[in-house]
Amino acid sequence: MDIPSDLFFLFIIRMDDQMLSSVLDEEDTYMDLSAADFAALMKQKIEFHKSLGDTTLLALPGTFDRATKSAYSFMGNKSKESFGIVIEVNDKKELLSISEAKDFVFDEFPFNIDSF
Amino acid sequence: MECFPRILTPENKILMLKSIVIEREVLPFSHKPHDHCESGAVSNLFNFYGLQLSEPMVFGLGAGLYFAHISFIKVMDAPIVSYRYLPGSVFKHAAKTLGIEIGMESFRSKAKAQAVLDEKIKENIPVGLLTDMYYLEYMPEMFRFHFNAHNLVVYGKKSEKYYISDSILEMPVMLNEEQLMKARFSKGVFSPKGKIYWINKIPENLNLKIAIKNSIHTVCKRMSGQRFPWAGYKGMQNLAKNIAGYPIKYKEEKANALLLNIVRMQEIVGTGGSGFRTIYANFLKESAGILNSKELEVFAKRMFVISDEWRNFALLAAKSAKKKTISKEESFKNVSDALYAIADQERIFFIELNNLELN
Repeated sequence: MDIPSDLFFLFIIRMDDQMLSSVLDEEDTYMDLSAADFAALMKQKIEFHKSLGDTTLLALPGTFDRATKSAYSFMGNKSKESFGIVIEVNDKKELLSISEAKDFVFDEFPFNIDSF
Repeated sequence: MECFPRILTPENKILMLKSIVIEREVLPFSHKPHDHCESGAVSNLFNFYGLQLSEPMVFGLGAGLYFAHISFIKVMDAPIVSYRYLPGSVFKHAAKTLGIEIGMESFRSKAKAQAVLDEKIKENIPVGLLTDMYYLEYMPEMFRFHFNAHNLVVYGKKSEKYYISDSILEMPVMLNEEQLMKARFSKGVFSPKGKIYWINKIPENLNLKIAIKNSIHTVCKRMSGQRFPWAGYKGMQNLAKNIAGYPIKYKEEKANALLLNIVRMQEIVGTGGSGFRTIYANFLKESAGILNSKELEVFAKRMFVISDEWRNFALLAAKSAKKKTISKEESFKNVSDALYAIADQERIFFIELNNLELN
């Protein structure tokens, strides 16, 4: 996937669907969706989190595929609801995959996540 | 700091805090997340002493807004594009213009750097540190890259671990001595050299109105001045000229990467969006209220418009870098034209703002 991963992550964190859409490759597909449909899906998810009162999404590491793969997913900063998108990156921080992996589990966080 | 509604000198506050510290083991430092690490760290430090200043107010008083494009200095293989003034300048300028006495030290010796940090913590003085983000192990791996000007506040220590308020995070974190030392003594451009800063004394009667006027004047001079061809509106024009030439000078992949790097610097690197223009517009808006100036309120609105223009520029730049359907020369020329237009807007804006009589 030819997307600058840092921009992709940080526009999700900032819940900025417009900028997120701008860095997608229009000829590529994401989660088997065209760039336009994927952008619409991301917008829908971001709007949902805004409606829950979230002002930012926390990007946190975890595992999926029966804990065999490491990846990142997102959580609303106020609602603590999962964003439902899982992103795999390689050692060079390049995007490998984007999915809705249902069995993603966040790593244990060293601080009490409910206290902030 | 609701317990301490008035501004306190550090000495007085330390006395008041002593019993609390014994109970809690660390200072009751109020961590608040912010968009930009330095103005966020400084805002949290000021707030600790009862000086409640928002992040935009600290950024504005620190005369943080700027633009520089230095094509002959490269960071991560791309020429420098900066939307703010030098690292550390927000703290220094805000403190100076408010009459706050501060301390600041850099080191050659790691042992000395740690000794001074530990001493300050022992004296119950929270301190700001300059660090390289790459070594901050509390950051998820994905977000760790070499950036030597990341500010954070250390406000306690327990079992060789430091309590850290990193204002770009939602919550305070901890880091051990070795990790923090690596982050304080990284190499490269703007190497932090263990830099540490703190507040010595806050005057009881500080004059916020004068400080606001001074800071606005400083930014106006820097942005509309003629001194350096890489700075202010001239720097923008210079970058606009270069952008138009990227598809001719470089292969497509490199030209796209350079354009995306501009977006990265503008929208991502702690700017709060639109290259700090949104934060600055909020500073002007807050200042208009404090100075009771309708004219300044109009300037705040104009800065919000300029901020939107910068955002549109970032959108256009990102799309141009990704788009394959139209010629690169044409799309980069459009991006260049958009930047020339913003440069002109900012030139007029800062000249007119500088001429505004603020009472």
